[in-house]
Amino acid sequence: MALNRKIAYIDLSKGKIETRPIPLEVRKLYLGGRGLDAYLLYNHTEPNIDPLGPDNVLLVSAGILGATLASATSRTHIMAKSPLTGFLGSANMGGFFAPELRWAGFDHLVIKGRAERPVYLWIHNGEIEIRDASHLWGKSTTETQWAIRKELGDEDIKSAVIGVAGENLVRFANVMTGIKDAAGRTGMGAVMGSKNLKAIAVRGTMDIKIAHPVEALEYNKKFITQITSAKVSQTQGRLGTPFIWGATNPWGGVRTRNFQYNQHLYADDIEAERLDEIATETIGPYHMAGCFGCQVHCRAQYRIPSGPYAGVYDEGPEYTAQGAFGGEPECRSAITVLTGNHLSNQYGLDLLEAGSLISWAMELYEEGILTSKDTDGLDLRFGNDEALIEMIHRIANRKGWLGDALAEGGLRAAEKIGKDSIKYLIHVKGMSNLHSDERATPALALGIATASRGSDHLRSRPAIDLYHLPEEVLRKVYSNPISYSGPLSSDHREYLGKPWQVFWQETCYMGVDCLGICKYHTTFLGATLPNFEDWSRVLYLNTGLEMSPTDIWTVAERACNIERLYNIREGLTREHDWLVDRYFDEPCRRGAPDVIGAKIDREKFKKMIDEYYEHHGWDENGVPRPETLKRLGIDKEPSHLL
Amino acid sequence: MANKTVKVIKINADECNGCRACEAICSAFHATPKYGTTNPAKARIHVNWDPLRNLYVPVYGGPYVEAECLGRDRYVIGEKEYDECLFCRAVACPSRDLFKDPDSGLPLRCDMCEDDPSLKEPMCVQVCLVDALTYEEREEEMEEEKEKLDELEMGLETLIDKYGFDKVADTLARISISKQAET
Repeated sequence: MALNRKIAYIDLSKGKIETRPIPLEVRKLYLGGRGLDAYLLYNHTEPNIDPLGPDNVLLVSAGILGATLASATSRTHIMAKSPLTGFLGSANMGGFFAPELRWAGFDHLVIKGRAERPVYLWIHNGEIEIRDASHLWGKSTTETQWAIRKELGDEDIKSAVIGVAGENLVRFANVMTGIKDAAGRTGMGAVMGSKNLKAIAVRGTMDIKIAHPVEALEYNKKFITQITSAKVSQTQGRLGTPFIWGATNPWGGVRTRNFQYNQHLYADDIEAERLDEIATETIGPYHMAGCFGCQVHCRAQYRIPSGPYAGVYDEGPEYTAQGAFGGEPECRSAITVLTGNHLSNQYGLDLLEAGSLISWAMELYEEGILTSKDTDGLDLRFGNDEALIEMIHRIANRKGWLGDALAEGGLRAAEKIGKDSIKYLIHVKGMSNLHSDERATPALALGIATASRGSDHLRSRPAIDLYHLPEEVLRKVYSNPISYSGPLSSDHREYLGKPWQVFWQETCYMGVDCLGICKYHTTFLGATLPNFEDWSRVLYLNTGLEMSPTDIWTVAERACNIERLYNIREGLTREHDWLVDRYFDEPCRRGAPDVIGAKIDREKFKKMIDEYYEHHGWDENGVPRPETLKRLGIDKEPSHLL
Repeated sequence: MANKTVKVIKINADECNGCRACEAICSAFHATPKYGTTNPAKARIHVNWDPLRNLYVPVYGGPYVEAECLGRDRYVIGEKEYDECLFCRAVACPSRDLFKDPDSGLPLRCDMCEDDPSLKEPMCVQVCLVDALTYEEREEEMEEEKEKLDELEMGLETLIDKYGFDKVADTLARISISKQAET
């Protein structure tokens, strides 16, 4: 069975390792991946622990469909208490790590304690070894992975590693595998660094059994057609996520000069087509790479064509990098975006957070809140490409007063900088927003305000809201598998009915994260892509687990509620589900007619949040109601099933 | 002289994006029951993978060899240098772990997904949507072929090479006696 993969408890302080099977009843409650991670985090941590102390628990997992005959089951999920926000820390990456972890016999790793000196884990066919990593400390993310391959003599080893940023406990350091696959957000790399854990290396040659082989294969063919026939997947396979820029920037949905504008006027050089041109020139016509078993292959490869890093190979950049190193700091050069992307990957830094915070510092510099004394002479103006690149180095190495301050994340840095600096910070729950500007789209704004890991576009964003789909299409998507007869609107400026879309998407994304499938294979960028009904079938055929679409919905709801319970336990209140004032006070100044002048209405937004809580079965403070917890069977947590 | 259909999997390494769907499906096709497991370590195709150099080269298991070769090659194509052995299709070569069943050590050779009824194309070609792998058949004049070893024979030969003929024969005899005793 694909369900015989185990859970390993690894205590780095004591050097103790224990493995256990995952009981079927737990599978039925949480499936795997992010859902089960959330349960484990709630059960294996005490309240109010130091996220960078030995009491924090690092959870690494594969989804329940990982390495089966289903498509795009490459996702690895990583969870811990976030050192950036103090709330739920959670991040997800593609690549090849999760399938390899399953072939090596494991689904979940629960890593506790703190090693005395740098170590890495070597996981091979059911066995786990803690090995010395002193010689790897200080190495970049790719150097580390290749050094481990060489040391253990196997080219096919896949590792999840941290770079220098993680070692230096930068609070938004990430965990990486491959060249650019990153579990980017909420500082999971810092948690790994705090445990003195440099890498987790896996290699497995154990069979994953498929429950209903021939049918699983046949069904997957349908699945593949559904994916490959969607226009959005085709475009993504050609240009990667930067294609989104071509729609959002002209329209006026890209934060520029931190939050001063909503459109980058000088973006010709960082458009998707230009980046594609560079990739074609430096790599060749076939420059898109894929994660395990994926038909979308949206990962571009490139070499930096000129500048101090000329000739260096890397992968990406994604839409995020265009905004973080292009839009927000108002830099105009593709070289800057490619270099920033490369450095973040090598240092193991969440580039979204880095770019966002540097742009914030730029605004503070221009406002005179930061002076050249604070920046050690660096001219931190908007559009200063060199200063941007220099700041990436400083943050990752915690160099200089400002580099060290920003490495602490926005809220802590604002405390150090003082004055009015906090007013300029664009964040939710202490985590920076994506460069997308949500003022003209209340649905998207609600998504980032309520996302369980802090401001985030991959937790509940109803991206198809921007397509102005006819109401009957929306109804078809959003009334499945749970019926919904309330209002729905094709207008992106509307507030009415949007909370349901956000609630539905949140549940949907939780579903894919439990299954271990990539979000580009579900209702995210394309309305016709597979969701609950297909999953139910795929899950049954591959693993033998019989779950109806509604059952999977309930699993996702349960996991969302566990995440909520965790956040509330760590001090989350309704006030944290809120945007910074600039969203309500400063209207959009650029873009299309339906964007100019747009800002979020406080009263209507409050109502939206009420409605969103109502859909979840939470009270007006955002606390799950006892009957909700009872219905989901989590009214007696922590229940310590695992 | 007789005509023979030669089956060819044409590899366009440039188009390969390294997703390894071919490895997974190959291992599934050759599993018992068919498609019953995935395990790329048992695949008869292997994507040589070095993203740092943008290098993805699928190679599928070819002839069985007993010993490693003496000379090693290095290829420079375009600007890329390819390591020794990278293009080599030798199955069960002692110099590497490739194309050996991880459990039994038995050789894993590509059989073009022989099946009854026969497949339109081998499975790896079917799942490769970017056409890094394509399938071709061509007619070739061939001398009368020597009798081909089937998979069982090939496996036995490997065991004989490893343990010697007598030991294998003894073991087989012993197993057959104990099996008879069971029934």
